[in-house]
Amino acid sequence: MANPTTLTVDDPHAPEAPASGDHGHGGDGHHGELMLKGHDGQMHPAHLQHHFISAEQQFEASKLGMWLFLVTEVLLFGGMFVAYAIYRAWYPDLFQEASTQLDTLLGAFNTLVLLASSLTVAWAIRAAQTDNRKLLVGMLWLTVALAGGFMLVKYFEYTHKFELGIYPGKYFQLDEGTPTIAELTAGTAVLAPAAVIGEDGQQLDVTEGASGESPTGEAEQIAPGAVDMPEANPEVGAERSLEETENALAEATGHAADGEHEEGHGREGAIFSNPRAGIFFSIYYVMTGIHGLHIIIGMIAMGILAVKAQRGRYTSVYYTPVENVGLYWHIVDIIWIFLFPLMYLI
Amino acid sequence: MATLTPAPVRSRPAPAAPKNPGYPQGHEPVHNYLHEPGPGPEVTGFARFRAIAWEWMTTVDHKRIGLMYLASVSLAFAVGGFLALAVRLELFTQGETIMTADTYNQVFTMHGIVMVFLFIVPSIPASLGNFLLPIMIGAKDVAFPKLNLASFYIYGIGAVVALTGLAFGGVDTGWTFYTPYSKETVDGVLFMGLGVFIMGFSSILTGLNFIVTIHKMRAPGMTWNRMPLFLWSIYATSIVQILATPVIGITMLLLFLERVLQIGIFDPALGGDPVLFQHFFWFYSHPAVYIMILPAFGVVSELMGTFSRQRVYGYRAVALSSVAIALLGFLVWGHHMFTSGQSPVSSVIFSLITFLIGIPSGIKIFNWVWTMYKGSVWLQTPMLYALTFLFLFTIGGVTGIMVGALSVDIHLHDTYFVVAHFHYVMMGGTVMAMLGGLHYWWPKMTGKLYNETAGKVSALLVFLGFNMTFFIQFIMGSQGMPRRYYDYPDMPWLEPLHQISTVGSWVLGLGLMVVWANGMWSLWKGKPAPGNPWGGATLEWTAATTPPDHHNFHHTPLVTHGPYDYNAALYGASGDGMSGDGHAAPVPDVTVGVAQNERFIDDGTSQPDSLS
Repeated sequence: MANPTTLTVDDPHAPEAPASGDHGHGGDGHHGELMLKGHDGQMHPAHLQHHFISAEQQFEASKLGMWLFLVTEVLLFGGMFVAYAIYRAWYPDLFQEASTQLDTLLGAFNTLVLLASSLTVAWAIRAAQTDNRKLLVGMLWLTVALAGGFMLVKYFEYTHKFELGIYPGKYFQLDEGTPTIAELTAGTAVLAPAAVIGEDGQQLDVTEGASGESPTGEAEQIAPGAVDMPEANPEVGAERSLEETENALAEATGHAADGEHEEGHGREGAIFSNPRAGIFFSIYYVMTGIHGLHIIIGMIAMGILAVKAQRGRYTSVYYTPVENVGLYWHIVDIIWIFLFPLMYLI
Repeated sequence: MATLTPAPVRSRPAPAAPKNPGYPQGHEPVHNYLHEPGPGPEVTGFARFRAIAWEWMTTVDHKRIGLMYLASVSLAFAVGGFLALAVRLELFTQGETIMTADTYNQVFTMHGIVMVFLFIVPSIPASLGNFLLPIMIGAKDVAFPKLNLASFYIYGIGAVVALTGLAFGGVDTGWTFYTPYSKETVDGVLFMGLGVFIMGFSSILTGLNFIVTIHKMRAPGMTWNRMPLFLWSIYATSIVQILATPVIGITMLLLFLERVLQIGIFDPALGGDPVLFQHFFWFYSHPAVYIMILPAFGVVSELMGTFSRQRVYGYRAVALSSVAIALLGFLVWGHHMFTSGQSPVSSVIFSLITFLIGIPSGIKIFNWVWTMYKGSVWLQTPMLYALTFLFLFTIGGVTGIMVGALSVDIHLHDTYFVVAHFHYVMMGGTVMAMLGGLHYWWPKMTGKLYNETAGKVSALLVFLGFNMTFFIQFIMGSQGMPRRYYDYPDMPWLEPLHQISTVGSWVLGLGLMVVWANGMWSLWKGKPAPGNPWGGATLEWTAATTPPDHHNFHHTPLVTHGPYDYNAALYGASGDGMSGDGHAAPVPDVTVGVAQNERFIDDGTSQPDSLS
């Protein structure tokens, strides 16, 4: 035999096989797979780690591990989706107004880019299974390129938002004169007609629509109280009272939705005079930010894979990393499939 | 009083090979994971020390990693324990005793954080679990050995990041980090939160590794229903680790961003909701208490079986109740928030599901008691700890049902009653089981026998000290002593009770010191341990040398009987008593340690139900 580490077990189909097999099925030493001698004196495929009995066991273990990791990813994002759902339920108008600030066209374009990258990564796995090294490397790099395109679009989206002063949370730049929630609760700002300062100066009382039993609370706590316990609060108007309060707040500050921004650099819409606007954009930035981080990690992983694939590391008998990174990439795509409509469309 | 001599009459003739033919060449007890791989004899002096240290730091052997975890969590336990002693000492008298109120807040917070995140979450799974899981299923290692080592270092990095917080003002939020206070207080919270986030990864990766190992790496014949109950409990624990830990991860990340970027998700001043933090936090932290207690259930199941010389009663019920607890545990987080502004309907539902958790826990308690019934209970140190567990955990569980009742909880919420309850569960449960398990597997892990008398003394001291410290706290709590308070000026009658509790903490500390000293003494002067000093029937006793080989087994064992078929395992009534390579298993050699041999009592051969 040409290669001293190649073992052909009495297999009639195993002639002088090439270095990497053409139609191997894994781990049995057939089809010219590279074999090494283990500490027990027996021959094992080179990629088989010593604590596994067979290549199948190793492959299945790896794949199960990846699936479990994906479960943790789902739960990680699950926490953020819960936050999204809760605040959307509390401030539906805010979310509607805020989502108009996002560029649906760019979002849709990015969705298509990611879907295409899912195709290319699946194609890469197929190429590995059929020992098509050139296609494998090409598809991996193409996936990296598509992911890079996604991040590029994301970069332009973010910078545009920053130009408009759309920052998360406290740093969201409200229109001049809009009172913040902190100011409202502290009683230092001009208040809407719908609300008056409580006797101690620390509390807001909603004069219209609030039920008699509901305790007077800080402005931001009216909403949780009203929505959190619908059974406990038979007052159907409770939820609406919040909207009325918000509208009244906006009116009271004298900032109509439009007409305030003659410069026209994009700061249009009632969202810029909504003191809670920062909430939506916090969730937006955190979710898309962490998603973007996953894209970058995926790009790095795929780049490493491509380099190794170039060196012939992956064949039809061993392509576990390609398969696993592919799985990871699909979950990143799926998360975006949920993010896009939730953030951009509704 | 029977000894471990093979019973003469068997349905099958005894195998032809001698029972104890010695070990396969190269697999004698001197060739074990503690020494191999290591530097050759030619390397000496400091170079040798360095080579050995490097071998250990870069090892992917699950046994070594388990020992490194054991050392780490023991250190964390010691640190947390001294902080606890400081807390108790401060409360010895009214007013300032040894520290200021601010320091007190930081000390009890650090006690909580160290004990929860650095000690008890990784305690049994990462140390005993890592060491035993692959051996018990007959595998050479866990599925992802490098990942295993990585999770150890991630744990270390997380611990260092968390402790960095001490340099930035420390933390005084309590281990729960409730917003909005955690958003306003000193910057130490940033590092603590980040540290918890990082340690969460360690926990996730360990759980992932264990699940894959159990699913894919079991030896031939090791069916699900032949798995030792310890593995079932580790399996259930791992499910919780995987499903719950990402949520604390994102929670800590959001808290971090909240402080750094003011994103306002938990900050009422920006429109957020601080109670949402509590929901997120307890969605992890309630299941996390099952991460803490489930492995303890597994250890106690092993101890009950081996030291009663009887099969664990209701094997399947005990195994599946672990899984049931793991799943139900996700549905009860709201019982921490009965007083936090939660709708009455959800409170009622959470309370109801909390009661339901009592059912699988009760199944376990009853089955353990049943295991001892008509068994030959052998009161060695591990069994004493197991019995301590049974007693303390039952009290802890029943008081848990009490605070799970809505109206009672309103009265007892945030009092010492709750403190006593969770110490009965966490310390009286998990720590007792861990101590029992440590004594049980100590000969296997180190190859040395500890001193039995010292072990028994320690068990007695720990039992007395624990009850003295914490039982009195039930009384203090029901009289209104709030938890986390620095002083009790309006309740002077509590002072003697506090003093009893503090003195109890000294007794408890002394008992734990005895445990520590006993362990160190055994490493230094202990007798060499026999292959199977307790007559256990699981693979680590029947098919591995003491201490185990670098590769655990000479050949993959063939499993032919259940984990508690003591006769079959030791005398080959149904199994062949052989390891996979045809050599007799290095099993019932109890000749080393004569005193033990003499004391070795009924092996259960006379019991009809111990033969399958």
